[in-house]
Amino acid sequence: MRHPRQVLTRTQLLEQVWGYDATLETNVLEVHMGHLRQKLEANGGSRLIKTIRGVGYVMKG
Amino acid sequence: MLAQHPFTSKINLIRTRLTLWIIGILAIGFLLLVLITFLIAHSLLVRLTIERLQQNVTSLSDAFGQENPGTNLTLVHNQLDAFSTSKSYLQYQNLQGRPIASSKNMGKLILPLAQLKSAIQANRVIQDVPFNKSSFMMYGHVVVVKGKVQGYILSAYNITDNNAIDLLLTLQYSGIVIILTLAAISVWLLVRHIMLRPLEHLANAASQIAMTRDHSLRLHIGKRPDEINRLAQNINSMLYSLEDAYQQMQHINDLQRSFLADVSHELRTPLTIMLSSLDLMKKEQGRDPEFQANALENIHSETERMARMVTRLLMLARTDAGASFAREPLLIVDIINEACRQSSPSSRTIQLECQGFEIIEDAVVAGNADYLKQVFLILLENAYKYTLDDGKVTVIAAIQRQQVAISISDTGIGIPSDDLASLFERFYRAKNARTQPGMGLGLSIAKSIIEQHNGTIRVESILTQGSCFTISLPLLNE
Repeated sequence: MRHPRQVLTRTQLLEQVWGYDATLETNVLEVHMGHLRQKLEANGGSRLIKTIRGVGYVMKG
Repeated sequence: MLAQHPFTSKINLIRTRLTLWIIGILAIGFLLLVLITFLIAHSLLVRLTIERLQQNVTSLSDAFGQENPGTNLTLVHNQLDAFSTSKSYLQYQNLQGRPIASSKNMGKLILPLAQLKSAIQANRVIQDVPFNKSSFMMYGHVVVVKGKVQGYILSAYNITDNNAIDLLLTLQYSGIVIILTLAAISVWLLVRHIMLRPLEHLANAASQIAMTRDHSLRLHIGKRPDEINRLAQNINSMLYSLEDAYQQMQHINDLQRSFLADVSHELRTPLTIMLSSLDLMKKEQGRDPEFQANALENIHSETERMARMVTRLLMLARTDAGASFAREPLLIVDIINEACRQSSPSSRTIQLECQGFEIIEDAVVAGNADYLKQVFLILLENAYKYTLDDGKVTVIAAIQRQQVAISISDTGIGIPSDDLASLFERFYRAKNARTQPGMGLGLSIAKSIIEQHNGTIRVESILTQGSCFTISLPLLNE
């Protein structure tokens, strides 16, 4: 994990993944997060990625 | 001399200007007065002259009408002489305009009857008739004897030079000159006496204060509420605020001096401990591993203490300079946990209890992790410092109305209620806290950091029971 327990805002994540000139709908991020969660929790794992409403996401071990 | 007393030359300038103004206004006023009196006197005089002329001529013609003037020429001459003056001529002419008799002062002159005929018929006085190289006022009247016009009485009054008016004017002009001179002198003296003397006193007193640098001195204020006393009052209130500012500066200076002494002392203590530990290690040369481990532990904790102190000083300098710090969304619970871990003293038997951390598990605030950690470190260290052994420090977290509230309470010595108001002032230390080492900086740093995070910090305390500091920070979560 590169940013454990660090709150990352939507803008930060979008810029990191898609680059500065990304003109994506913000719910693209939600969809991807959903996929990530499904894969991470597939084998009965606990929730790693938490949503911080109005801010962004945080990864907790 | 002028260079030495620039003020004096200015005062003289004001004085001169004032005098000149007053003289100018007086002169204009007097001139107007003279002009008006002259005009009034002149018209009065003219009317008087006309009346006299008419009266003289009418009474003469009446007299001639009763006693036929043709019979006794000597009597006519006498009567004409009696009514004439040095400036007025009288002449009796027949119907053809030939002079029958004249007043003595006339000589061979003949008054111009032709010019006067119409005026005689209208019973009018003609003013400004040029005659005998002068200007004359003329009047004529018929002489009627037994219902028959016998001739004319003509009179002329020389109005070229009017001595009376000349005299009046001369008198008035010399009067004006004398009055103006007197006014100038008295204004010059009065201005000096009434206005400039008190001003000079004021200037002297002010320069006295400036020279002695005694800020408690005040100017003397007179009883009358005039401009100069008002000026003195203003200068005095200025001196009050100056003295205030000076004292405040002195106070801050004193605080800073003692702060410097405290800081150097606080920094030297760990250094001394570290140096002596190192010396002993050198002498031991690693023969006793247990001693070495102890010494290293000692040095480590002292270095940490020093590092904390230096960080705090740096923070103080930065908040003083108004430097803003980078902010990012933070999990506040991580910062509190970290602070709790770093601050708990291993050597003391003080219990640390945390409540409600699960409530703020996902709470996010916008802030700077280093600065916020410092705030919690300051509060926790204070709590430990002023709590006796077997006491308890409690950290309670809560969320209320979009705010994260974290309170840190102890069962320590408490804070006297009259110290609470000034508790967050820089260098301020409560009376019962002075036995413990410290600089009185922590809470002021905490307050300024929290305020830069748009939060609040408040304190409640009961003496000998304990204190409770509560921090509120705006929540970023929706």
